[in-house]
Amino acid sequence: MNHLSNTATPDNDPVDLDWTAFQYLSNELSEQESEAFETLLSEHQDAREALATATQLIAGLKTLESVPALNPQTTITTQAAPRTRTTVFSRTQQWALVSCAAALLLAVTFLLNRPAVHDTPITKLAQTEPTQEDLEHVLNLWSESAEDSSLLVALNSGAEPIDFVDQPNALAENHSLEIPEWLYTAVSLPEESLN
Amino acid sequence: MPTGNDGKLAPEVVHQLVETHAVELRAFLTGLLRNHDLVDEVFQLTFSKALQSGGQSKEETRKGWLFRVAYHESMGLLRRNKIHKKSLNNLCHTTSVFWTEAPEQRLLESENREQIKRALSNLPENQQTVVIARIYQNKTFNEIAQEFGLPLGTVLTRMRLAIKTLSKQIDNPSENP
Repeated sequence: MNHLSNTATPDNDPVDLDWTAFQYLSNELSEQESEAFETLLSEHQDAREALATATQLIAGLKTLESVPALNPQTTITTQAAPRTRTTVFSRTQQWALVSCAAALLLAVTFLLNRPAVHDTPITKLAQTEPTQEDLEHVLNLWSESAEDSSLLVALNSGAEPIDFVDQPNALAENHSLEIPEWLYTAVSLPEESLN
Repeated sequence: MPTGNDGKLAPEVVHQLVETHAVELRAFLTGLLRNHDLVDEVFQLTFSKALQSGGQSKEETRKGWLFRVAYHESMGLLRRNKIHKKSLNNLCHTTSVFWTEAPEQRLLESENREQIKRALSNLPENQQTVVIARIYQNKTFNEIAQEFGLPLGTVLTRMRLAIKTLSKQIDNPSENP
């Protein structure tokens, strides 16, 4: 402990050089107090040594920041509750853990999805040579869904493949699109009647 | 006393002084100057003066003489450069830099850190809390007092006691329990 017995504060306490040096380094002294301490530094070796010690102390304390046992949040929060052991991973370890978890998740997802993919008929058709039965099934499904639009699909193994590019032209040729009466009426209505 | 002519100190004596006091002197200069380059500059100036006129000092008070020269060189430099004092964080950065310059300094930093860590863990928990809040969380004493519902005087007293204990253990590591 550095006490300068022949130097006293206004309230006659001997100067605690360690404390004053800490305050000086932390910029917690007023301008006058700083000047007074600098005067001490110019005259007393004890004050200089106290400043050196305080500098080492603060720098040393700052370098402990990464020490888990002295992590500020941990210490503060464990004050009220019983102390618990905490494991702190380095940044590299965290990345490695996340990468492994992601890889594992991808692998599990892939394995879980594989059987489902094989159960899908269309995919199965795409992956294997289509049988006649398969083709019939697909065409049936398509025909059923196309009934509403009056699109007929011939179920004929000898039928020519449907050219989808020409489909609009085929529709135009085979089906005359008549405009219904209600549409004519709606279009010809005056604007006031719409309100 | 191995001094040269005209008040000069023999180089081997100066070398011995560097080995003995370099770390403490650098810490002192860092506290004053808070700038790595300026610390280097004054450090060199101080030992240059020791070479030139260190022989005028008595051997038993040579450490004090060295620190006094360093202090006056620092103040002169600060006045000339009108350098503003930097924050606590800059101080920490600067000290970390100079402590990792050479292997022996790195060793010292490691020893110093372990020493401080031990000393900190030996403090009463209420003092540890205040030190951590002030040093790591950079809170003001007022904020700490409000956060823990303590009178400001109590917080200051705890910090003061903690600094006293820690400083004592740095100065006298053998007394570390």
